[in-house]
Amino acid sequence: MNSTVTVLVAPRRHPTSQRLTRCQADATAATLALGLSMPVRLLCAGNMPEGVARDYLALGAPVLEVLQCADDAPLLDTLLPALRDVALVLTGTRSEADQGSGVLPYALAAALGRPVVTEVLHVQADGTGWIITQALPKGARRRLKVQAPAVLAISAAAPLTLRHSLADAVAGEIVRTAVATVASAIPLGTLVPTRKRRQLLEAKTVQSGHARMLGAIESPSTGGVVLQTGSVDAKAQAVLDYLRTHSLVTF
Amino acid sequence: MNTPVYTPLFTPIRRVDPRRPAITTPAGLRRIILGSSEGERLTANAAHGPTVKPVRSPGPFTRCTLVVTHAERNVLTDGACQAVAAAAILAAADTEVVLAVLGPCVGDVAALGVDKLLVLDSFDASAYQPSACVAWLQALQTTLNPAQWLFADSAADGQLGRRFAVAASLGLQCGVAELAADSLRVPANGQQDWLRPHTPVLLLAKGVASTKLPFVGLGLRAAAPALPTVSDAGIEDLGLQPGDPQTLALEEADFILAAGNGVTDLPLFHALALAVGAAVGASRVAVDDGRFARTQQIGASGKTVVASGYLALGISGAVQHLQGIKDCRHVIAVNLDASAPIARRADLTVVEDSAALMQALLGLVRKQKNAEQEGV
Repeated sequence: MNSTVTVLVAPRRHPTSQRLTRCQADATAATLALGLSMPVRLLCAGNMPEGVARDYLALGAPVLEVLQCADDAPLLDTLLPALRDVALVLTGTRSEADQGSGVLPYALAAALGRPVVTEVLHVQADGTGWIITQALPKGARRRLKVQAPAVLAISAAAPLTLRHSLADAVAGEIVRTAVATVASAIPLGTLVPTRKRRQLLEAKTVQSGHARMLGAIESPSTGGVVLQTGSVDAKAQAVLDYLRTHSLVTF
Repeated sequence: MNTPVYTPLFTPIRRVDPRRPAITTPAGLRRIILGSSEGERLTANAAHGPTVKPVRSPGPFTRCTLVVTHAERNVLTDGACQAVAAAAILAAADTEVVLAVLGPCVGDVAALGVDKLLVLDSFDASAYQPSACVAWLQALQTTLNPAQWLFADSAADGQLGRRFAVAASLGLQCGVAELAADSLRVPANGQQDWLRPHTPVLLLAKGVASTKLPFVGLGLRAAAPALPTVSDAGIEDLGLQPGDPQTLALEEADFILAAGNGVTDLPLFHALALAVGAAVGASRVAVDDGRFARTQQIGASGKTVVASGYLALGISGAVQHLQGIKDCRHVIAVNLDASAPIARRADLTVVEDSAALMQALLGLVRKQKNAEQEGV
């Protein structure tokens, strides 16, 4: 098992211009890997245009490997042989607005038989293992000690500054390898144009006209409880009781 | 002598009682059904009261749809409610809607359309145990054998769904934006969607289904299997550090104390925020006056927050401000004007001077904390 950190990168289609661009999440993962003082390899499966590859190299990585395969080839089968003897595999995290299913880190970890840690903010070497800070909702942080090999999905919120060095972009090496893969047996589905408004899944209701008219005159939001009378202390107690019944406070 | 035959001069006219029992059909026509008590005036009046919704399906069930979620502050998240509603809408008469909740869960789940509720009360959300959760779901898979698994595609639920689908090698669709009876749509790029058939595991994006249901579920509670002890190989948990509400970005805060024009005593306000452990927000007027930083502004031109609790002090609730808090779960308003627009949005409105209430609330909170410390 070699000590190289492999970062999986991919081009992203810009939602408005439809051009292939560098993916912010993958660039964040690459930046985090380059800060680890270990050899870093950027790896991409599929089609990667020269311009996008140079954008990734501008982050400071010396080499970017592209495994050239067909667009509909299964990603996992293409990547697995290149990742068998790698200690640390880093991926980005799909943002809410982006495409992609976000399953790749889990599928890779399952195929390689390694643990997967998601939402990684910070990685620090610690003896034989790694101390990893994980972001949780509501600003909480968790620290985990992970023994290599492992798959880490880097959080998009990792506090990193992406550098852009033209010298590195020009000097970096792009290694393209053709990989023979069989086409995926699972059909992707059919592409259809997006509706102007998302169709909401609603239960079928058979309503009389009278009921619909009633619905139209009823105010949709009537508001909650209004406390007008009573002393200040009683009102403060009511507020505290509300907070405690809905477990908004912990005392 | 002949007795005269009197023919009645006025034959009794058949009259129709306009107030006789009648029902209004779905087509909007008034139907009078002779001999039926349906639609009598008394029952018709009762219809204006609270309506009792019918049960979706009384059973017996042969298949089931399983919705899995993590409880947040002992209640279901909006995403989980939508996933349950989607399951109930799509379910056939012989399909049971089962909800499995990790963590304690209170509230009326039957109204959401749940037929059977499995609650894992002993779940510790602060521990790192993804493998144990996956093993728990696999145990449910062997006992219930669900035809369909639904998760909300958000934070912990989305991660658990992906982990489980990969571990169980089930077909998975993530970020489902539109769901229909036989197909679903997943966004492919800005202009196109993937139209695909259903898979065993579906991760639903926000706002897929409407939670307004014309029926209820059975709402039975059943015993959930215990969480198996499965350790995560190669990973050691070094502990959880909760976020500090004072330094947290407002978008991430879970409990927010917000000040408006009615708050003038700032030291008292900040002391209260510190005591209840809330993040500090403000309305536009308070920010423009220089009492708060621009980053603390909540509303259309400030931040949109998604807190579980929002305590608004001296805020009347302009439309722009209400836009910023539309995703907050519990809103409490303290205002001198009972007819302020925020009273229509708030779950609890207290008509009181904000300074007096802050003082009283701070005293109560400190008393409560002291009592707790002495008890420990």
